[in-house]
Formats: sequence, structure tokens, C-alpha cells
Amino acid sequence: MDTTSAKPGIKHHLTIALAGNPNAGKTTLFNSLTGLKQKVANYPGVTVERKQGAWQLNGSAATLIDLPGLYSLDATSMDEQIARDVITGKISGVEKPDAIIAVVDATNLERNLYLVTQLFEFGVPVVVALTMIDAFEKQKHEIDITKFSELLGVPVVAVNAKSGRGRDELSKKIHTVIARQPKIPYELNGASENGGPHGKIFARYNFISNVVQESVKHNDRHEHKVSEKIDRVLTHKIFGLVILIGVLLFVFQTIFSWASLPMDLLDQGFGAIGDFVRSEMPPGILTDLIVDGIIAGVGGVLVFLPQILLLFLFISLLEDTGYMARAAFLMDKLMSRVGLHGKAFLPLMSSFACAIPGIMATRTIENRRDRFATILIAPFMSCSARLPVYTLMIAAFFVGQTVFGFISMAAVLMLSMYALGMLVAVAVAFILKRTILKAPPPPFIMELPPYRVPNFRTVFQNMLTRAWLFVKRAGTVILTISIILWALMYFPRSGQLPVASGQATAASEVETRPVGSVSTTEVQTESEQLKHSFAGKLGHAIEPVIKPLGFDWKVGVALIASFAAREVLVSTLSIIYNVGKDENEQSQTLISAIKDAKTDDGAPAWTPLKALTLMVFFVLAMQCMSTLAIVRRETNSWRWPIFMTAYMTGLAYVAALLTYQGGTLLGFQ
Amino acid sequence: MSVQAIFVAIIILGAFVYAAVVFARKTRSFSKKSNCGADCGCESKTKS
Repeated sequence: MDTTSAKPGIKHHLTIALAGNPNAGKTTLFNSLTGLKQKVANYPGVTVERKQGAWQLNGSAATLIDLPGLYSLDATSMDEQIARDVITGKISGVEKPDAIIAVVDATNLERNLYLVTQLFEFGVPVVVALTMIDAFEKQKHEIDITKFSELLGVPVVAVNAKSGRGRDELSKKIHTVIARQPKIPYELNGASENGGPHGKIFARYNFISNVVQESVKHNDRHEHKVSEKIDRVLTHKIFGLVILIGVLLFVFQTIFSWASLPMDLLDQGFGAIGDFVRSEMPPGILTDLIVDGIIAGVGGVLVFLPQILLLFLFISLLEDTGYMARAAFLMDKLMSRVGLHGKAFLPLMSSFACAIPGIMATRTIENRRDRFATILIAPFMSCSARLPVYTLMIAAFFVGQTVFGFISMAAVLMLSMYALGMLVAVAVAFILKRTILKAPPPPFIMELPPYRVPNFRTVFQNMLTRAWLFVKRAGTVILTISIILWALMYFPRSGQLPVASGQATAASEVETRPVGSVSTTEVQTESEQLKHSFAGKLGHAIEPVIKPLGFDWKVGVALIASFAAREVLVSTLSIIYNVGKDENEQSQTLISAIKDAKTDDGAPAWTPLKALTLMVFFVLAMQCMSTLAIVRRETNSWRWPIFMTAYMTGLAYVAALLTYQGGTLLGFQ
Repeated sequence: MSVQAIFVAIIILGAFVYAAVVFARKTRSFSKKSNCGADCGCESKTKS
């Protein structure tokens, strides 16, 4: 191994790579050094995520690359291969790093240092950033950092990303190591020639053992670690699951109750904006587009922003405290019984936010069949886009009810939808792993990180990032679809019927009627217009198919539209039910519109049973163009996205049919 | 055609054009390419 590369010349813009084990605090350090100045992309030609950010390094700009979390650089997975290629400068468009910051968890030195010993071999200057030093010191251990650094042969800096400790020193050490030649420790140099095929591995572990023994003092006081005590309960095969269900119930209950007031305020706010626009603008087609299309469509989705914020607040809290790993451990028992890879849990957990990053995260699963099985079931995890649909249906028909007298029915139903998705995912995985994707279950070692106080800055940053994405989506995709849907529902206009609300009525009636309200004649007229519109015709065309599920043609239009994005169902219903305003009422909330809505024959368009049927359909149906696109990319085949659409749609239809018809037979409404 | 109708026509046309552009981007994402894949609004993923 060449250790005598020429010293780099003076560079004004440095590239630094951040490497380390998963859960070592790498991403927290990365976020702390770069702030919000980050970019997420993919490495060329592959689907491994590339994260880089701008770092002010002693007054000059540097690029910090966050490499995937790795235990080693043995290149058995794509992540490891990419990391090697980045370090050796083989990725086009990515500068070879001038230095590497090796993030080492002080509470797991031996395991973390293995990667560091491999990093030495690349001839790139290394600085070790020692994290979790506060947890290490709480365990009453001591480390002589000077000696540790001397034995390793590289600078070592204790850092605390939360408090900013060590950041300045880290910057200085980067410049120090870049200015001198990197060298491999003597004990690691030539080890493979001396010890056979495993000689290098033994040499690394021997080296690590010596370094740790000489510089770290583990106290002999026998103390039960707090994490182990807590884990005895939280990972118990019975109590653990009960607690997990309790935690999830609490989360959903809180989301409903805390979000209720801000959602009502947002709802009223959008309603007031619509009324204001209608009162200030002259009646006409533009006013109709703005009020009934844009405000109704986009506002209908944006009212759920408080719920999205709370959902991601809790997800981030659970992740940051370390509890999510315990949940993964509990689920792993169930997953391994159906043949799912242990590494499938993290992609599946990510899919609860959005299936796209969840499916991309399956790249860490080496076996192709295990990976495909995970991809095919990931969309069953109820993503955040489904949340507005669940919330709308639950809020319209199930709020105020309790189970066993104290558990809110809303929370139980919400949890049931998530649970239904997971159970179906497990069942489908069971079938897939024994038929078309048969493969032996691989062994899996899962790391349980110690419990820690959440970093509230990271938690809020994650929450706000997700919220911004939700708002951005509302302002782009949802806005576009709302406009298109409104047009499809508005046109063609019959010349014999009034063109827009407020125009065809007598002047005296307009003067005496409240702003925004309409007459019975106009309601009937608008309903007829909707029925004969492009959207109405499409809805009627598919009505025979969805009628057995209890849905009418209006729901059919919403289901078709929601293929583009699930939350569009809410926008579509907002537009549909605002078009036919009720007599003497100003703009209604969507919830009350749904409760009051009638089918063409005068029956209630929505009942609790129909609401439940829709939710069941939404849990299981494949309704996301973006998910299909990513499945096509990840599997490099059209076969799998087509198969996924077919089997998920079929499953959703059958489940909804059983729910509605079964419920009707049992006398439910 | 009234002024309002002209505005509405422009807005609707713009929406269709935007939808077509997004659809074309997603269709391109069906095959592997060198840079970032499709943006569904979910490009940021929570990692601990």
C-alpha cells in the first residue's frame, strides 16, 4: 500500500468526507457542521443516496460529504462500494476527499475503530471525531485522548454536536493533517503477508485492542446500565408489544386532540378567504376557479398540516430517543417468521413517512429476492399522504366516540388502519417468500443504540423539513391537479343553464341573500353541470365497478384523481362538494359537506360504513405514481410495478368489498 | 371571450403544461440515470 503520496498543493476549496458506523452520531455531526446548507442527490449510475453540504472551515468554504453509515469497507454491499469509490476519487462529479473525518462512538470503541483501521489504508488524511463522549463519561469510563491519538497515529477530537464542543478544534486538525503525509500504523502495514488470508483482520483487531487497553480505563464498578434495565421491559416479548401498542395509541390520540383546534382554525381561515374573494371579485368564471378550485382544493389539503407536523414530531422523537430501534427489534421477530430480512424493517419504517425513501433504503439488502419482497410490501405501510384521508373520514363519522369508555375511537381506528397495512404486508411477504421470491432467511444482527435524550434541534429540524415538503407538494402537485380537476368538473357548460353561481338569479334576490349563498335552483343547476362535465362522465363510466363498494360516481372521480397523489382525494372531494352548495349556506367545511352529501337518488352519499370502506381501500390500494416510478427504477423492470399495481388494486377492491358488503349484511350503516 | 375567461384559460393551460412536464420527468425516472431520481416531494428522508 502506497503511503508516500505527494503532499497536496494549496487548495482553496477542500472536500472532506464523513465516515462512520451507523448510529455513531455521524448525521448529527454533519447537520451541526453544515446547518441547512445541504443537498441530497444520488451517486451517478446507482441509487445510493449522496448527501453533501457546505462547511465553513476556518473561514474558507469546504464541501462535507456524508458517506453512508458503514461497519467496514469490505465492499460486500453497494453502500460500501460507493464509499470506497468516493474515498479513492473514482466517482465522476465527486471530488476525491482531501481528508476524512472518522466518526467514532466512544461507547463502542472496538467496533467503531475497525472501520478507522481500514480508512488508514487509503492514504487519505484522517481525523477521528469522538462522539457520545458525554454518555461514555456517564458510564464512569475514562479515556486519555492524547495517548489514544498518539497510538492511533492521527488527531482525535472529542465532539458534541449538540453543544458545539470540539467543532473549532476539528477544523484546525483537518488543516493539520492535510499539511502532512498520512501513514499507516506499523502494526497494520504488511499484515496480510504475515498472517494468511485473515491476517489483516487479526492484525486490525490486535491493533485496536492494544490502543483501547493503553488509553481507556473501564471502571470496575458494576452498574446496571439504564438502557439495559429499560430494555428488559421494552423488548419483552409480551410487555414490549403491549407497550408499543400503547405508545402508538397515545401518539395517534394526541395527534387527533392536539391538531383539532389548529385544523378548525385553518379550515375556517380558508373558508373566510374563499368568502372574501367571492364577495370582492366580480362574479364569473375566474372567481369560481379561484374559490371553488384553488382555495377549496389546496386549502382542503393544507388544513391537515397540524397533523403532519405532530406525526413527524413523534416519529423524530421516537427515533432520536432510540425507541424506534426497540420497536424494530420487536417487529423483527414477526418479520423473521415470514421470511423477511431483518434489514427490511428500516425501509418499512421509512415507508410510514413516504414509500419512496423506504423503497430506496432497500438497497442495503444484499439478496435480490429479499429486496424485491420488501419493495413489494413497502407501500402497505400507511404513508403520510394517506393521513388526510383517514383523518377526514374519522373526523366526519367517528369523533366523540370511545372504546371501553376511555380510549378514543378515532385513535383506535387510526391505529387499526396502520395495523391493517402491516398485517397485510406480513401476509403478502409470507406468500411471496414461499412462492415467487423464495429465499432462505438470512441471519441478522441488529444493533440497539443506547437510549438518549433527544436532540430537540434535530427533531424540530426534521419536523419542519417534512412540513415544508408537505406544503411544497400542496403548492405544486395538489394545486395543479386542483385546477385540472376543477376544469374537468366545470366544462363543458350547457348554454341553457346558468354559467356560474350568482349570475343567473334576479337582482333583488342577490341583494337580499347572504354573500356566497345560493338558491335551490342554482344548487340543482350546478349539480346537473357537474354530472354532465368531463369528470362527471368519467365518474359515471366507472360507477358500476365501484358501486358494490358503496361508492358513487363522485367518489369514483376522487379515486381516479388520487392516483397522482393520495391526498388529492381530499382536494377532489372539496371541489366536488363545494360545487353543489347547499341552500342558504355559505362555504361549508368539507366534513359537514361530506355528512350532508347525497347521491343522485337522495340517499346519504357517506355513512360510517362507507367511510370505513374507503379507508380500507386506501390502506391497500396502489395509488401513487411516484411509488410506481421508483419501483421501476429500483427493480429495473416493468414487470414488478405492473405486478404491484395489479395485486394491490385487486387486494384493495376485495377488502373494500368485504368490508362494505359484509358490514351491510351485518346491519351496519 | 371575457377577460376572466382568458385568464382562466391561461391558468388551466399552464396547469396542463406543468402536469405534462412533471409526468415527462417521472417517465424519464423510469430508467436509471446518472443524477438524482424522481422528486415526489419526499426527497428528504429522516435519518438518525
